[in-house]
Amino acid sequence: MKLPIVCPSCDHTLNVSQMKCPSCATQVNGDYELPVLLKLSRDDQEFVLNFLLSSGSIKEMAKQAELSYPTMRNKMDDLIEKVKKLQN
Amino acid sequence: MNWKTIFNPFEKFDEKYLLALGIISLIAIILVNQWTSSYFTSIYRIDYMENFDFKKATISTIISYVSMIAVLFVLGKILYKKTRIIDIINTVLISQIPLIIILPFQKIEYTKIVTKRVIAYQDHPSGAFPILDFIFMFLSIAIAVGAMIYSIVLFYNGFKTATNIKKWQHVTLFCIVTFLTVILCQIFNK
Repeated sequence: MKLPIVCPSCDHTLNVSQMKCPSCATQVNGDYELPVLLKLSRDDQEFVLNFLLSSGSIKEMAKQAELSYPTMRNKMDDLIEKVKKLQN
Repeated sequence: MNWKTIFNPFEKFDEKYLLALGIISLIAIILVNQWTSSYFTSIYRIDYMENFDFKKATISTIISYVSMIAVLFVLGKILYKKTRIIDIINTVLISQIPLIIILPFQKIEYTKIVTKRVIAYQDHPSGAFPILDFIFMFLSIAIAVGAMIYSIVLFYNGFKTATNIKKWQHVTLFCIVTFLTVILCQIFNK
């Protein structure tokens, strides 16, 4: 099941209000903000994961995605901008 | 290969592959220049020499390319500090490939004959309407305009990919700088 990160009604980023231990069923309630990386779209999260798995090499990522280096670098820069906005 | 790749090969292909293709196309352009007695005074201006001088024509064509590469690289660095020279070189070299098909137009003898016949008919419209001549002329113009538009699209997409520009102000600046470089190059490269 996909983790919803955006409110279906107003598009605002969702917060976490409940967590549950899958082992003993203990529940924790509250109002927790999602970490910055989880606020990103699924595609962007996948991009970050791929970046990590390719040892932080944009060149390697570009090769795997069959894209050129500047295209991948531009995607990375756009993502950095998004993360900066989410941090503020 | 899809439409997106055709109009923006810079997004997909490796820079070394594009550079190799660009250099081959430059050599091809120089050879076609010799065959058609033509040369570039800027990347978007083709002139013809009566007494063709290979050295002069080649230098003029190369100056057109180099001046545009230099100006775009400086602009790219100002707009986006990660701009690489190889991406700008590829932008200029690849964008010129479609223009190769325009070069022989003047050389084809039939084009001159058709042009003369069409002009003659327009001045004195008598006899049968030369429909085939008009179709030939129309197709020639359509191919030339199509090649020019495709070249400009490649030029813009190449610079956009190289510099990651998105703001309309940056795009406008790019258009103005390109236009000025083309004009200045044509003035000084005569």
